[in-house]
Amino acid sequence: MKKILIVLLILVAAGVGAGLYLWNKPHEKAEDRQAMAVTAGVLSEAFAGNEQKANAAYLNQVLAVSGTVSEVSRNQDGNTVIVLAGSDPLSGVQCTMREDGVKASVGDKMTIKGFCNGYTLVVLLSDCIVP
Amino acid sequence: MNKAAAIVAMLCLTASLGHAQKWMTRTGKVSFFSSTSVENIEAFNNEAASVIDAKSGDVAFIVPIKSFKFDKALMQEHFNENYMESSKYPKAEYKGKITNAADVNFSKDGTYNVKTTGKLTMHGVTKDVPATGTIVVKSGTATIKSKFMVAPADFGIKIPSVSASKIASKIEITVDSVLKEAK
Repeated sequence: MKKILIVLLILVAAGVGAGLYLWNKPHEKAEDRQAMAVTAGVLSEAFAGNEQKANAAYLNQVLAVSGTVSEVSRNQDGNTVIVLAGSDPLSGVQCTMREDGVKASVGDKMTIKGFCNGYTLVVLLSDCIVP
Repeated sequence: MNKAAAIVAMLCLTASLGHAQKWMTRTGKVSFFSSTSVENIEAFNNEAASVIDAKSGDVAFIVPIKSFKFDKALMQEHFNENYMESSKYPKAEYKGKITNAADVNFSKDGTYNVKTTGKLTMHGVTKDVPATGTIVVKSGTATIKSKFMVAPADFGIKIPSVSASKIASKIEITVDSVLKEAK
């Protein structure tokens, strides 16, 4: 009887532990995943050409995008946003940085790693880091 | 490319050709809030694209679903995988018209009340969604502010009964996006 009770208690504790772990599990980080390397030109052209096909290849993936910085700004919540120039003046890859303090100026060549969230007028990369 | 995206692209293109009537952003802020007696859930998005044509009153928003950030990673996962199916439907789009666009003076600082009629497409379903809000013109920016309610059931989003008590049947959407004149 006592044994059964102990086993039950352990099971309940394990269940609660697993539940708590799931509930509090941390957000995934770009450095936790292997990145797919691609240039900003190829990536923006893929989305502008056939969005559905590009989504199938890149959406939800961690990408390491290399290109030339065409714009540096801050979004409404104060996060740094770096745009890597695309294949034409209207396109690009917009990277929202995870942390502050990234040094970047227009014209710099950089590689930025982050999660691909799809496409609006530009290709979106979020929670980005400089590897 | 679908219709709304084509219209936004067209608006941008004409904007870039020098007609200074277009206002736009690619880092617009959109959030939502679900309130029940069990819990409140909110998520924020800073990657919405929006374009307004000041003259015609045409307004378009493209909201990437995967860009909504939740406090809890697990909630974000459920939102994307179980409810919004964001791999299949990666963005929501609003395409509409400001019905009283003539009342807004984009070259004079002030707060202007606006009404829109338009269509919201999300999760593969398109519905008429009218909205009211304000456009705040201040030192060269135009901020669109609006709150409206959306029922997940209207867009074919199924909430399993086990979660039904935690997710409101009507979700409050808040738009607070700062647009700049496209040059």
